[in-house]
Amino acid sequence: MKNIFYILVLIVAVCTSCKEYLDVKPKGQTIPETAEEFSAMLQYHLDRIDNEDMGDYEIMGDSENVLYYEFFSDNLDASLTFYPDGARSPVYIGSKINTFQDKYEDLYKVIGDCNIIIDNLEEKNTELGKKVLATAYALRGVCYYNLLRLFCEPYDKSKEQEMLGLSVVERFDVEARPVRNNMKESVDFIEKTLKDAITFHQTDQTFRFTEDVAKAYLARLYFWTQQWDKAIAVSEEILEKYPLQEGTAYLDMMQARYDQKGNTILKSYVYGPRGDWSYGLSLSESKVRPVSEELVNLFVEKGNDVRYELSFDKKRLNTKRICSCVRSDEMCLIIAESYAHKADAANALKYLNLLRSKRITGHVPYTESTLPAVDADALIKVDATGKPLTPLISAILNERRKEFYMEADRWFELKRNGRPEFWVAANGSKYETLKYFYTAPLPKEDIDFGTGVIQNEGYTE
Amino acid sequence: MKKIGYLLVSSFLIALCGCGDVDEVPPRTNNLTTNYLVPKPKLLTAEEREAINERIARYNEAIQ
Repeated sequence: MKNIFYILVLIVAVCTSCKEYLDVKPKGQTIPETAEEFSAMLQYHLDRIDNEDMGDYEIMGDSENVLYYEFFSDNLDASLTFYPDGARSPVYIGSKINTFQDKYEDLYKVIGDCNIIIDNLEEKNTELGKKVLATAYALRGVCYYNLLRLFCEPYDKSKEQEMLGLSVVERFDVEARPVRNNMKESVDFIEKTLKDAITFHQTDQTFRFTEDVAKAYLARLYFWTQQWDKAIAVSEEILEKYPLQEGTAYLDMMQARYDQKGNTILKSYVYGPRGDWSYGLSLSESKVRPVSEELVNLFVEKGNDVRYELSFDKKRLNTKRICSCVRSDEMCLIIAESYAHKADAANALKYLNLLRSKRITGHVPYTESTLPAVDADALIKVDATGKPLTPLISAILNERRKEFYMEADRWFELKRNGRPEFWVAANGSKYETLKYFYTAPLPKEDIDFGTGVIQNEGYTE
Repeated sequence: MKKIGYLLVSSFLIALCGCGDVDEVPPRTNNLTTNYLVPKPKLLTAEEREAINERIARYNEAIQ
């Protein structure tokens, strides 16, 4: 009996002591120790960008995510949806608004992993350690940028100290429930994180978020937050390194299914397995809804514009590869619009015409007097600063709409430029995209937790 | 008496082991129960229905 008792004591001692053997900070997980282990932590998220079977819903967005943003926007005409195939596609943003709560949590999970790496990686001076750290900073910056665009209202410089920003979490703490910082604090943090990534000058493409990618996102951040001079400076640097493609080189780049070609800086599905099943489903789904007549009518040059036949067929059904990517063409239009907002029409036209010259055969450069008039029936009525559209800004926005069709850009352009309300029809009913839908709801759980996190306007029950 | 004592102490020690893995973090609730309501769609008015029909007609004409 005594022996049995002593054995039991030994078992209990072992069981209770083992709890403290493993260094457990994140609940149920262990902290890596070597650079290889931290790299493996990162690779899980990087693999999701490249592997459509794993699903990337929040970092770059897989093909379904990209397609759904096109469905939410006015690029594809919901009122012309073909049924019954179109029945499973979202009619409008309201059909999927609550799914953004999951996206919010997923983004913070990635941020959490990046914070663990930044806080705990000790091998800061080895080659691998530097790559891992650089990627963690860049990925964190990208995730926060995505959060900013999804869950905060469009930037208003006059209210940047009052506007609700993000819950900025810089260190991993599973117990933390931070409240929302203001917009300026959030933007400053994202800028700092991306700049931290850039200081490493990381160029290894297998880590995806290289120095150039971090710079591209920095340019996007400056553009979104109307810091025109900074947007121009960074974008010009990228554009010089990644000159625009034209003709067959452009088509080759845009139609490449897996290869990152031409002036593409970052693209999904590059390093993953070659398989088309879920991408193929998205491509089929893109054809349940014709391209809107308003977008088609922007192609004034029709077949002389290389994007015309690249984008849709004679039945106005999508033919373009669904692309989740970052390319320097965007930087060109960022520069054009930034100069336009600075009232520098000459430079704005220079960059607008540069892009058009690469796309349109027999291109005739716009001048201030030959710019098309603003379309009074267009959905966007005001620019990013709230002023009525000028012919120059209107031309730049239209060019951007043609260039980035089927690349999840239009929805955010609508958000950035006034959040216009519009409606679509389905099954005899009218579905309205209301202003508050452009800013997604934070998870209701976080609000109900009672720590003071403020929900976005419009989501009350 | 001694045997009962050993048994009681042993049971107490085993119970200590069993309580060691209480999850301090409450389980996540299902998001399906935390959806926000969106306004219900409205029926199209006659004017809106006409506008949609014209849109469909323009599309059918354009693709011929």
